[in-house]
Amino acid sequence: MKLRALGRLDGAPWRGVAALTARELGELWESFRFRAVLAVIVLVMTISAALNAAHHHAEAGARPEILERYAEEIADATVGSLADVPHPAIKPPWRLAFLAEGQQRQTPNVYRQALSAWEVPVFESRHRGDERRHETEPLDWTFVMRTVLSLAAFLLGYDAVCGPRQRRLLELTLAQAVERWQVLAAKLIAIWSCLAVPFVCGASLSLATLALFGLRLTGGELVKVTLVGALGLGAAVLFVAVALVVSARIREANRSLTALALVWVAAVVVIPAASGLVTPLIRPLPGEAGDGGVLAPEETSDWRPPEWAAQDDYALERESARVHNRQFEAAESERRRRVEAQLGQAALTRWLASASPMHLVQESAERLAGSGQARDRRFVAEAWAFREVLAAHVRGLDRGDPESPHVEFFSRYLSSRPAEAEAVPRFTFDEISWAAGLRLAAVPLAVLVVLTLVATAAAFLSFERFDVRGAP
Amino acid sequence: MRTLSAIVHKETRHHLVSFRYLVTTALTVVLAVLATLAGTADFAQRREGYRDRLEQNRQALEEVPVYSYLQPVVVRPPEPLGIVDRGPAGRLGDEVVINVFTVPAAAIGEDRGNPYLASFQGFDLTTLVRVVLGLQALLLTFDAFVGERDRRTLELTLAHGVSRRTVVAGKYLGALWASLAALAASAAGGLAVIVLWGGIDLDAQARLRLGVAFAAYGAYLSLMVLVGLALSLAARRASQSLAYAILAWLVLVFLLPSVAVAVAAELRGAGGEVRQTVARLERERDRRLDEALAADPLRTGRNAHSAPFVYSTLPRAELRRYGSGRYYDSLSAYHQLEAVVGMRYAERIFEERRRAGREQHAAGRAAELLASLSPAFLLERLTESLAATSAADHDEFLAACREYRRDFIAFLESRQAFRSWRWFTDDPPETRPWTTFLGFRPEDVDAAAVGDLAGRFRSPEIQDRLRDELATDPPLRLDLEGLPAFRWEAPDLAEATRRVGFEVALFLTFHALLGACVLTRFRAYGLRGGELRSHAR
Repeated sequence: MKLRALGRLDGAPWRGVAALTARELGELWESFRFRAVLAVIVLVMTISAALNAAHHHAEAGARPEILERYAEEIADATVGSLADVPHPAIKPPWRLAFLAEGQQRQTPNVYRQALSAWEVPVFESRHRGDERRHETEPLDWTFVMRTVLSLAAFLLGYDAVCGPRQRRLLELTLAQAVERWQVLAAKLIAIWSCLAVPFVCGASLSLATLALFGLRLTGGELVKVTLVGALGLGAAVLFVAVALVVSARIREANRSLTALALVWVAAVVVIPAASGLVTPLIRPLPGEAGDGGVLAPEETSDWRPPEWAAQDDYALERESARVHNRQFEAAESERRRRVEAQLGQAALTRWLASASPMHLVQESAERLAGSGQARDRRFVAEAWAFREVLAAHVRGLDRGDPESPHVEFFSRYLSSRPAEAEAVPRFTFDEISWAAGLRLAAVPLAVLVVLTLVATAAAFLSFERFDVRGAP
Repeated sequence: MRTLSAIVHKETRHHLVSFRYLVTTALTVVLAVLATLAGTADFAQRREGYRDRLEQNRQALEEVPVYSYLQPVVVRPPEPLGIVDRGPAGRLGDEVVINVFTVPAAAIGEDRGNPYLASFQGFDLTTLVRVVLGLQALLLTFDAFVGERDRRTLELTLAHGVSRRTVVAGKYLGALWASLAALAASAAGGLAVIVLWGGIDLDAQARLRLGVAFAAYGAYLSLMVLVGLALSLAARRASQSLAYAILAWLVLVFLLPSVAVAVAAELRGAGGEVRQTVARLERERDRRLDEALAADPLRTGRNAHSAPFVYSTLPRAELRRYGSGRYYDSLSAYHQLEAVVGMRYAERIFEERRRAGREQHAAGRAAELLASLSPAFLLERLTESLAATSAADHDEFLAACREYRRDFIAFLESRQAFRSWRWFTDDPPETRPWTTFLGFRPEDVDAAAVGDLAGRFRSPEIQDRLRDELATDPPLRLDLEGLPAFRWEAPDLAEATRRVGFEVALFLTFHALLGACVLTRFRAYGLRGGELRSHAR
């Protein structure tokens, strides 16, 4: 019946493709594989949205706790004591974690820095979470695209070419005056549709779940969601094309799926893991500076009480402050160099892992969403810049007090006037916009497009040269 | 028996020369070597850091001038088997400051490494076995029955009078031997790196644990082989069986643990309530102590008795100089009370934390049970316990720290430290109050004259004298003879195994259920159909 329908294809190539696609779709939609793929994708995306929304609410709830404590600390502060208070710079909880978590629950999200040279600034990971739990992959759309969608494409496509050949159906199909490219295009479209439908359903349910949990997305965030969703649909073309290439090159369905499973393991597990293992060996981090070690200047006993030191206009303290500030700057530049080295090491790992198309998809998604390393780098840069803002504020207040010895930034030798807590600058973090994300993702996206074109062309070429005669 | 041996031999040989086996084994060996290289380098760095910190802490103790500054830092040594399974211990900290005012409930000192690489660095030998060798076991067995039925060789085998049970046993053992051979090759690569490159000498206990960890890997592979065999019996075609196997692998190894662990984490909550309770208790304690301190006017503000030099760089630790005997007596009374109140509140705060921890654990228990349906999750639990890198091992370390704190307090009490001036000053018993530098006894100084005297005390001559005195009279050091030493050893193998009794029982239950399922299903397994029947459909 279905084969007879193909008789109407003469002279209308795309109508032929449509008819073949409908037939392929009919077969796939009835299969267990499609139903399993549909269930897994929809379930994972919905659960991921619910978990991420709950986590976001909890993290957002924990944030004021830190800020409240800070507000208490500076409530009765003097200008001088502002130098001793560790001013927190907090990276806000990542609203689009359901889209591309990008390690945002693991990387440091709080930077505490006091202006005093005696206080060592620290990056901390103050995430709401259970550190005792097992490390598992974060559940987000990127996980679905990289892990589930790719494996689903392989499961749906591994026997697309070699399966009908083994069953001698391919020979029959081509006997209906159908072009080979039409057959392959139909298969590609049908399998892609079987991935796109669950993905779009999962995405819709995911967004509905977020709305249920009260996480309302802004216009810019919706653009990011759309871009990442489009990336997922585009990546599905690549995965299907790879499955078709393997299915056309390996003539036995079992071997085809085995080969695809190995390709998947290599791309999803082996290449990223090997990158993570190799990078510290080829680019080790510089030696650590202990918190109380050489990089932290110690308070010494040569500081006199202010009323005593006033006698010689704080000569000893001024000299000592110069030395301590110089030491602090050296230590701080060493600490910053170490953070830069850590970020550089992570960048190299990601670059190496990009040998895997699945990782490339993840990298693109993270950049489009404004997550991952780009967000970490921005936080580090803004947190460091915040010090200057604080310093300018305290300096301004201190200069306004003629009785202050102006020994920057040592609390007892600065102005003892009360500081207005509300006027103390607070850290604000600017998220990466969708346009900036698009620019950041340009290179990995271009590579993905090229890979998709190459894989699709390889699939068509392989099928053109494919011997459609099945095994006797 | 000879028949079984022949089938096992045939199956093993068939697997060993297959493309899928060779590729996965090669991948595994390369990754095992890389993972062990990275793990060994990390261990060496941690060990060096551990030794450095021990030395720093020892030197710091030697320079402690007063008892309030005596706050020993204990460090947990890195576990060599962390190379095999990192577990959560590294993330939970390895350093605890022992003092009177806090009962250890958490450790500090984060995992040394790169936080921006976290998602790339969780790869260890256990992950390798869980992911790659687990898949290999399924790839070896997905067509064990259905493939032979399609090729009609199963019918032939049974026609030779071989019992169905023997066929099942032969296929199971054949696939298991092949899987174990891949495991042995990876283990050999990993061990070679540990011993030859890392120069790590594992003691007898560690070797024993490692042996049992490899037995756990073997048990996991055996379970995955049984899953593959069961799926092979459930499918109509080999390709369908393979699809089932890969879906099962995705769910068992990735999805189920990820979803269940994430749900457990959300159910557990953040412990915000306990933080608030702890903050309230701390405020209450501080208020009580502030009131007690202010009870004697001698202890508040500057007067002729008080010490003008106060150093304080550790919590509740202070070093005072140049105060009077009366002032020090008053302070001593306060510090006795401070110790009593501090210890009482420390216990209360610890109990609050422990209660909240229990509640959090109970909340996430159901989701963790769900994760226990995954053999991969069970394997993680087993091996991290054997490697002594589990959360339970971290709890043992904290318990040892609490025990040490009790010994430490007993030591302080034996020295009568809390009621001694030496809690807060290293001034000699015959004190030298600051007013004596100006020729006055504190008792003779009128309160109104303190400001004037303080101004004279600031004169360059007095300051020079003090500086000279400080330079020539370095602080006294505490005699720490009899200070208990902290000792920590990971729980022995029996304890490590006992802790994961539930996981072991589940492993055995899954084996029994799957084994019975495979045997029963194969007993009623039709030998015809397969490819042709499915095509007809």
